[in-house]
This record gives sequence, C-alpha cells and structure tokens, in this order.
Amino acid sequence: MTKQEQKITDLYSPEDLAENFVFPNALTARQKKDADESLRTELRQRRMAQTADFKVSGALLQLRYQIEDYVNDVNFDKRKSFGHFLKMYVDCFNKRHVEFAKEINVKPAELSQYINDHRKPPQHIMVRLELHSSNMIPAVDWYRLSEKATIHKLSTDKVMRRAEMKFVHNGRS
Amino acid sequence: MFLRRIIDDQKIPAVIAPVVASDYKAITKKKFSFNWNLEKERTVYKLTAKGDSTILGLISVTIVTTDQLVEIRLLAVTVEQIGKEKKIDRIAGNLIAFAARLAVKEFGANAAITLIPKTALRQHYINRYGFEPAGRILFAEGAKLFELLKSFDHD
Repeated sequence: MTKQEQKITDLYSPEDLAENFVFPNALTARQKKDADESLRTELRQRRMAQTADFKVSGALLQLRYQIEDYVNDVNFDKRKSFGHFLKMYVDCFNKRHVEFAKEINVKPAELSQYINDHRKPPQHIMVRLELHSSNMIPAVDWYRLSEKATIHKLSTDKVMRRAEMKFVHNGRS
Repeated sequence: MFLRRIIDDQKIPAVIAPVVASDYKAITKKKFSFNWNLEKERTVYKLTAKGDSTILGLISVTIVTTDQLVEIRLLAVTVEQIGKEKKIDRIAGNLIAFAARLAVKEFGANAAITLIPKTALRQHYINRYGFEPAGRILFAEGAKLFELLKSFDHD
C-alpha cells in the first residue's frame, strides 16, 4: 500500500472506502497475468452458456446505446442514418427481412425503402419498432435519429437558401 | 441517470463526460484523494450534477477489446461527499454503471466490467454492485451487469 492509500484508509471506515473508491491494483505483472487468465476462463464459460434470448437482449441494448450516443452527439455522420440503424436492429434478431417485415406488419418493399433511406419513416413505424423491441429502444430515439438528418439538411442546404432568397424582402441583412 | 440529495431525497440528474485538460486544475489530490495527473493518458470520466460544473466523482477505465471488457482502474468520489459531509448519494454507483454502459455499447451481450479490489473491500463490491469473484478479480457480466445498469437507469 502506498503512503497516500494508507492515509485514505486511515481516514475512512471500510464502508466509506468501498462506497467511494476503487483503489489502483497492487498486483505484480505476473499476478495480473495469472488473474487475467482465471478471469478469461470464467468469462469464456459464462459467454458459452448464454441463451439465444440473452444474446438478442445484449445486442438490442448495445444498439440502443449507440443510437442514444449518436443522437446526443453534436456531429452529423451521414453513414449513421435511420436506415443504417434499422438494418442493425433487424440483424439483432438474425431474421430475414421478409420475416421481420411481417412482424411489424409492413410490406418487404416498404421495409427495404426504410433500410435504404429511400423513404422517411412515419411515426407509427417508430412506435411499432418500440413495441417490437419490448420498449428497449424508445420510439422517441428512432424519431430523433430520423430528425437528425433533417436538421442537418436544413442547416446546410445552400441550394434551398439560394432558391428561397427571392421570396424574402426587406429582411435584416 | 440521477443522483440523490440526502436531505430531502430529491433526484438530481447527473451527467458523465470525458475529462478534458482544463479539468485537471480542479482535480487535486486534496479533493480526489489520488494523483489523477498520472491518469492523464488514460480514459477518465467525470460526473457532475446537470447544470453544475463541480466535479463530484472520477473514474479511470481501460477498454480491453481482446477480452471484451472494461476494467475500472481507479475511482474516487470528491472528499466533500464522503462520510459525515456527504450531501449527495449514488456518485460512485453511477460511475460504475457508466463503465458497464461503455462495456455494453462496445461488446453487447459479451460485455463485462472488472476491478481488482483491496481484500477488505471485496465483499462490499459483491453485495452492492453484484460483482462476482474470479480469483483476485471481481467482474460483473450477463444478467448481473444488466441489473446494475437498470438500478442506475441505464436500461
């Protein structure tokens, strides 16, 4: 234990220490290597024992966090479209698109249009996705994702601005 | 994700963000117990109450891609919120749950978080956060990891 760690340990009760700190580990390189190997063995067994259902839940939660972080990011990435994440969502279930389309009651061609960003998804589709995911990915997140592209287009569309100039008179310069 | 104000049990929204260079002026050994300058090259996050820039807690993590886990290297709550002076609860818990969120975002169902505890503190982490032992290391994965996320509103 370092002098600093001893100082902290002397200041607080064991409950306070555990509640408020994670100390740097004091293992030697060899001890860490052995510890890591024990951990790997344990994790390998746990991961092999995962049910298909759990794997889907894990994939959905992962996707949800990726969507959340992207919609909250100030930056726009044209690759991260609604269709991009919708395809990832469908892939979570390892199903063919035709089968998935049936599950949310849309025609396969319509699903394809959403996945390829050829058609803007209506809100009721976002709600169906929320329900399909058992509320794991809220409709609002799908909506914000879809709107992010709209907002970006609106902020950066120079062609539209040039076209609309003729309709604006006596505006502030 | 929220903190709890002890005096009236009110929820306070929390924000966790990466530490930036200018934060280190306020991250002193006196307030945060360790020399956090040694973690400057690492991945360090700070927790604040929403709308308030005062740092309440810090966590340093390593994302270990080969093992699909996030290792918690170091964590400290500000001394102003420890013991008798404590006014806000759930600081450390939110930071640990954040490490879990990072892990799931990267690794999905295979995600795990780990820490190497002092022997005397082992059982507390097990009881409080659902960690399990694998030799000297404590880890949380699978359903227990998801429960941890749920209890700190990351579900």
